[in-house]
Amino acid sequence: MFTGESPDNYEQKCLCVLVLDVSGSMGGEPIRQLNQGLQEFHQEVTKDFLASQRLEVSIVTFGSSVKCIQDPALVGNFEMPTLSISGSTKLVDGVRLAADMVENRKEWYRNTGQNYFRPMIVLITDGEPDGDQDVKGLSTQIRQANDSKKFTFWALGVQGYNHQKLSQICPPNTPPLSLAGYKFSEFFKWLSNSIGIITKSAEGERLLLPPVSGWTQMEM
Amino acid sequence: MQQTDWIFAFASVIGNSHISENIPCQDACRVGVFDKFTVSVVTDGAGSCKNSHLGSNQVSDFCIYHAEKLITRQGWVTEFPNQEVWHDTAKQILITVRKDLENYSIEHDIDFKSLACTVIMAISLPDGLLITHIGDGRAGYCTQEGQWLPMITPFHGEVANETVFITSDIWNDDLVDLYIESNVISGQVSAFCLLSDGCEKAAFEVNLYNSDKSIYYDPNRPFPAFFNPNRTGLTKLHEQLKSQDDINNLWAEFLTAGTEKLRLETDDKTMVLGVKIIQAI
Repeated sequence: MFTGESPDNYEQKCLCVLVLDVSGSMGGEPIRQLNQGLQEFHQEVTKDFLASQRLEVSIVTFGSSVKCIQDPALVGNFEMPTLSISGSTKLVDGVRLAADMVENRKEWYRNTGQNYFRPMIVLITDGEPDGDQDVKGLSTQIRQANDSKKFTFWALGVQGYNHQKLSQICPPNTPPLSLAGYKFSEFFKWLSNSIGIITKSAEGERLLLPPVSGWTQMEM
Repeated sequence: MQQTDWIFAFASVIGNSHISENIPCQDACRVGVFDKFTVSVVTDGAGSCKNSHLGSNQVSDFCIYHAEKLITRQGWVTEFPNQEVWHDTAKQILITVRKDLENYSIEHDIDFKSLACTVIMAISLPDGLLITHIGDGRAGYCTQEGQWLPMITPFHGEVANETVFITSDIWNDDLVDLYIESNVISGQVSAFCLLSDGCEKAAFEVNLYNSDKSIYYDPNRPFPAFFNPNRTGLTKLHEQLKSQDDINNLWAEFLTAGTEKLRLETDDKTMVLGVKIIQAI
């Protein structure tokens, strides 16, 4: 009969930066639902053994100011914070901070000899960037990063968001998705399932992600 | 009188993620046993390519066919080649295999690039082993003294699991030697293994942590506690006169869930284990 022991290898990492809108318009039910969704996302990833060993989550919030409230960490190494609202919508600054964090983390992976999956940035917003925000510049930056495979970029629009502006920012291969109502829980369930698939995939593989029908609506 | 022979266990098993997504097993393997030499091949189809399961099977067959012809023609059973001669010859075999794959794609009206797969091929000869490969996966051997050592370095791109394939554009003179690695293991070898990347975390040390230097590193080391018991197991099954099919079925069972790492792995898993035995004739 065949038998044997396996060595204790560490897993390769996959970074997901959540860029979350905490502007005033997210007050009340939206922020409550978003917080609940984040908690459930944390629980779902924790339950998936491989994803919990591979996925590093980081959280950037943007309102009147931009903050990194969670540095990249495996889900077992942090507790999901509770978000509170603050003012306007520095969306572009938030995404730019996330892009910088991706580059810094990749450099750290390389310097410490770690393999990694292509990082992803997930933007969630219910509004449109403040008037002084450089949407065009961000759009160019995101598209270049997408073309050179620096990271993948997904955006989720919440009730009242500006679809045209968000479409301008997103790369053509990942257009913005529109959240039905405040179904954050369903979205984060989908995200954790998708991450489960991504972190078990080979580079370049056609990924069959779960259907989005439970939480999206068409936006024309 | 005594005779030296090689015995094998070889199998490909479909990964859990491929089962749930209704994708066929994209790995393949073959072992050809000939007069005084053997040819073993492991191929791993690219996940992104819809016909890579066909490519991996075709490439495995073509490798066995061309390697067998070449070893016989070169007379390497009695005259073991040096590194340079083997590398040049390995390239020629792989170019011929690629050409056969192109012809196959034309005959069957299949996009050539959709047949993408990695390939690892080992030839055991009386005086040692020859190995060549394109892409990722692992291969190792055991010395007569019982030390397990790696015999290839997998090719990885910037991100995890990114690699090159036999269908990739790597064949001009400037590039080919960067992507095709060939090695000669001269002297007595008591066992060897070839495996697709789906098996590597279960069977090789590939990602360890050095706390003194605070870095992760890939020792690319076959794990003795994985291979030695299986080497014994294969020898026992041979002594019990089990058929090759029976051995391979047991091997497939082991690759499916024989250790926790194998059980949890979602990628396709393929491994060839060869063990040298000496028997009275």
